Amino acid sequence: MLRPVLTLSTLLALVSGLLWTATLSAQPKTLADYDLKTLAIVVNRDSSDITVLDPATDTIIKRIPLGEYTNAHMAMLNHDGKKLIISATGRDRFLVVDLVTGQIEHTIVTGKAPEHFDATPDGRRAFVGNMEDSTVSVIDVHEGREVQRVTGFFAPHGFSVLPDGSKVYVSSLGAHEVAVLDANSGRMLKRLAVGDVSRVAARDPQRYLSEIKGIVNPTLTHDGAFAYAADSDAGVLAIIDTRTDKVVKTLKVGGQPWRAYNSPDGRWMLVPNNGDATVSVIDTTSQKIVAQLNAGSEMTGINFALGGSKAYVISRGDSTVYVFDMKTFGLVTRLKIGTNLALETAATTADGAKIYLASSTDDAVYVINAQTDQVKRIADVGRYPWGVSILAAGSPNYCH
Amino acid sequence: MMADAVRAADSPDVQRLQERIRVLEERLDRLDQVEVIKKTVEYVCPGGEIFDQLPPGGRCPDGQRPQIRETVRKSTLARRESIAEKIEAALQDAEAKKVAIGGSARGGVQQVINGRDGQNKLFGEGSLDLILLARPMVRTTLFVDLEAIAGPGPDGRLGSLSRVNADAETLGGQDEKLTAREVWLGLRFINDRLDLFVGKLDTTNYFDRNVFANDETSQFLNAALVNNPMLKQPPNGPGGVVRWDAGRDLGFSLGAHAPNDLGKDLAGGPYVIGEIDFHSARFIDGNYRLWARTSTLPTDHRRQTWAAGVSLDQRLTPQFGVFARAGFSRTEGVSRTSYAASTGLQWTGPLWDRPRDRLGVGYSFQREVPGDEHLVEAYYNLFLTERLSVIGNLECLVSGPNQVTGKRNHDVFIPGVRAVVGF
Repeated sequence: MLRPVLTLSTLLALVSGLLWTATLSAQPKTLADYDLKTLAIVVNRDSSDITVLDPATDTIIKRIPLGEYTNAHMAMLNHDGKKLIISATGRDRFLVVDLVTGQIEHTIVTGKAPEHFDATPDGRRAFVGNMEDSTVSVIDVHEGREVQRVTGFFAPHGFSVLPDGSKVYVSSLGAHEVAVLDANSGRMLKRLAVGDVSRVAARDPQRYLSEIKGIVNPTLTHDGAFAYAADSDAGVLAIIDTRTDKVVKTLKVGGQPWRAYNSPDGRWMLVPNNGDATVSVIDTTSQKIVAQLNAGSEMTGINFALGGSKAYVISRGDSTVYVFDMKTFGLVTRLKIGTNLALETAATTADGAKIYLASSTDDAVYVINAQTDQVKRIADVGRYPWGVSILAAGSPNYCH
Repeated sequence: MMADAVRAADSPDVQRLQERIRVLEERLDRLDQVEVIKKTVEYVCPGGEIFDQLPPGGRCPDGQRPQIRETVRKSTLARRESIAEKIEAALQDAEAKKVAIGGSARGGVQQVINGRDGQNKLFGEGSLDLILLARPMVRTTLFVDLEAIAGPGPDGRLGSLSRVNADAETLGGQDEKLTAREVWLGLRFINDRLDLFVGKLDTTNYFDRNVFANDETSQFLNAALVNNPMLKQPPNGPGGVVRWDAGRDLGFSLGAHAPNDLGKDLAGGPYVIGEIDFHSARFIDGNYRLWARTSTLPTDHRRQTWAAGVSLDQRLTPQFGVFARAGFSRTEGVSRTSYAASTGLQWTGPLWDRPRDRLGVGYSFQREVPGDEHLVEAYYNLFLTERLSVIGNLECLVSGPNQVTGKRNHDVFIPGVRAVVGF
C-alpha cells in the first residue's frame, strides 16, 4: 500500500519540478537580469529613442522612447553602470535615463544643439558641447541640473575627461584649438593652438572662409598623460602633454585627418585621413608615424578587436570596413557591408570578439565577428541609428 | 458641451499637437541664426597657448615671445547681429586693401651759447615725413617715406664729431631737401621667422638699435646718442637686409648696402653689416646686440674700413632703463683706431601726474683722427596729447674738435626746443 503512494508522490514531485522549471524559462528576461555594462546601446536619431541590444544573442532587448523630436545624438551608460546619459540635440536637453526601468529621471535644459559629451570617472559630472551657441554645459548628473554654462568655444565637438577627473579637454570644430577646463570649477585654464592655418588660409581665403574643419576630438592615452588632437584643415596631429598643457609635438599626417583612435593596449594611435584615404599609425612611445595605411573614403571611425590585434576602419564613402592586422599593418580583408549605406560609428564588445556598427540609412546595426570577419545584420533597430556604445567596451567608445 | 471641450483638450491627439507647437516654437530661434567664419588675429606661445590679445608685457607665461598670426573661427550669430558683423567684415576688408598714410611734422630751434667766432646763433629746422604703407600681397609690406626738410643745424659752424642735430644730418650739407627717404618691400617667410627687406633702406632701422637712444624725433637729438658713430652708415640707398628669428630670443641680421644713394657716386665696395641680437626677459626686459661692418671709405674707394660695436638697453624698473653703446673702427692706411662709447638713462613718467612724459640723460665720448670729443645731453619729452609732443633738450659739447674751423669747442651749450605732430 505504501509503495504505490510513494511512487505516485515521487512522480508528482518530478512533474511539478519540470513544470516549475519550464515556467521559469518561459518568463522573459528583464534588463535587470543582464550585466548592463556589456549591453550595446544604439542611439536612433530620427525615431528619438534608444535600442538596447544583447550581444550574446544579437537581439533587441528593449527600446526606450526619449520623447518626440529629441533627436538624440549621443548616448552612453554612465560610469555607475546604471543610468544612460543622452544628448537630446533636437530639444536642447540632456537626459538621464534609468536603463532598467526606461524612465527619464532628469531632463536638463542645455545650450543650443548639445551633441558630444564626456563624464567624470565618478559619473557625477558631464560636460556637453552645445554646437549652435558654442557653449559647454556642465551637468550635475546626480542632481539633474546644469550647474554652469561655459563660453569661449567655437563649435565644441569633442570631449575627454582625464582619468583622475581633474581636467577636461574640449576640441573646437569651428576653430583650430583645444580648450582645457578645470573639471571642478568649470574654469577655462588654457586654449591651445593645433596647427597653423594662417598660411593656407591666406592662399585660399575663399575655401577657409566658407568652411572650417577644425578638431573633431582630443583623444587621451590610456594613462591620460597625452592628448592627441588632429586638425583637419591643417593636416596635422598635435600631441598635448596634459601635465603641462603644452603642445609638445606636431606631426604632419595625411590630408584632412579625422581624429585619433587609441588601441586597447595603448601602443598605437590611428588617425584616418579623409583627404587622401589613408590611416596614419602613430607609435605612442616614440610619438612618431610608423606606418601609413591605404583605406577608404569618408572614414567615420576605427574600432579595435581581439585585444587590439585587429583594427576595423569604417569607410562610409565605400560602405566598407577595412580590416588591418596590427602586427604587420597589412590589410586582412575588406568587408563590403552593402551599397550606398551610411555607416556611422561602432562599439566593440567587452570581450573584443564582436563589433556593433550602426548604419543609419537602412535602420540597421551590423555585427562583425572579429574571429571570422563574418557580418550579420540586425534590422529595424530604430530610425537612423547614429551610434553604438558599450560601457565595458574592448575598444574605446566614440561618436562622430 | 463644456465637458466635451475639456475631454477634447485632454485627448492624446490634442496633447500631441500642443507638444509639436511647443517644439516648433523652441526651434523658431534657430531660424534666426546664421553661421559666420571670421578672420582674427591670435597670439600663440611656443607651447601652443592662445591669447586673443598680446599677453601682459608682450610675453608668454614662460617669458618667450608669442607668434602673431591670423586664423579663422566659426561663430553662430543671430541674423540681425550678422548684418552688423558683415558690415564690419566688409570694412575690415576695405581697410586691408587700402594704403595707410601717416607721418609727422617737426619743427625746432637750437641756440648755441658760449660758442666762438660767431657761433652763438639761433638755428631753425623743419621737416615733414609722409609715410605710405600698403600690403600688395600676403605677408608683404610696401613702405614709402617721403621727407621734406629744411634748415641745417648748428654743425655748419660747430663742426662737432658727434653732430648735434641728427635730424638735420639727412640734409647732407644742403639747406633744404625733398627726398624719398625710404622705399622698400618687406617679405616674411618660414612661419614669420625670416624677414627680407629690399629697396632704398635706412641701415640704422635694422642694426645698432636701442630702445632708449635711437630716435632723434622723440629722444636724444645728438647723432652720437641715436646711433654708434662707428657705424658710419652710408646715406639711405639701395640695399637688402635679411633677418632670421632663431627662436629663444636670438636673432641674426645681415645687410648689404650700396655706398651711396641712387643718382650719386656708387663706386666703391658695398657696405656689409651683420648683427646678432639677444633679448632677455629675465630682468624685466633687456636687449643686447653685437654688430660688425665693413666698407670702403667714401672719400677713397680703394681703402677698406671696418668696425664692430655693441648696443645694450636694459629696463631696471617698468619706468626706468639704462643704455650703453661702444664700438671701434679701423681704416686701412690709418694707424689710429677710432673709438666711441655712450651711456645714459631714460625715465618714463618722472612727474607723478604725467605717466607718458620721458626724461633722458646721456653721455658720449668719441675718439677719431681729428681728436676726442665729450658730450652730454638731457631732454624732456612732454606729451601734450597722443599725437603732439614738445621736447626740450640741452646739449653740452664739453670739449671736442671743430671740423669747420679747425679749432676746438669748449663748454658749448646748445639748448633746443622741438615740437612733433604725428598724423
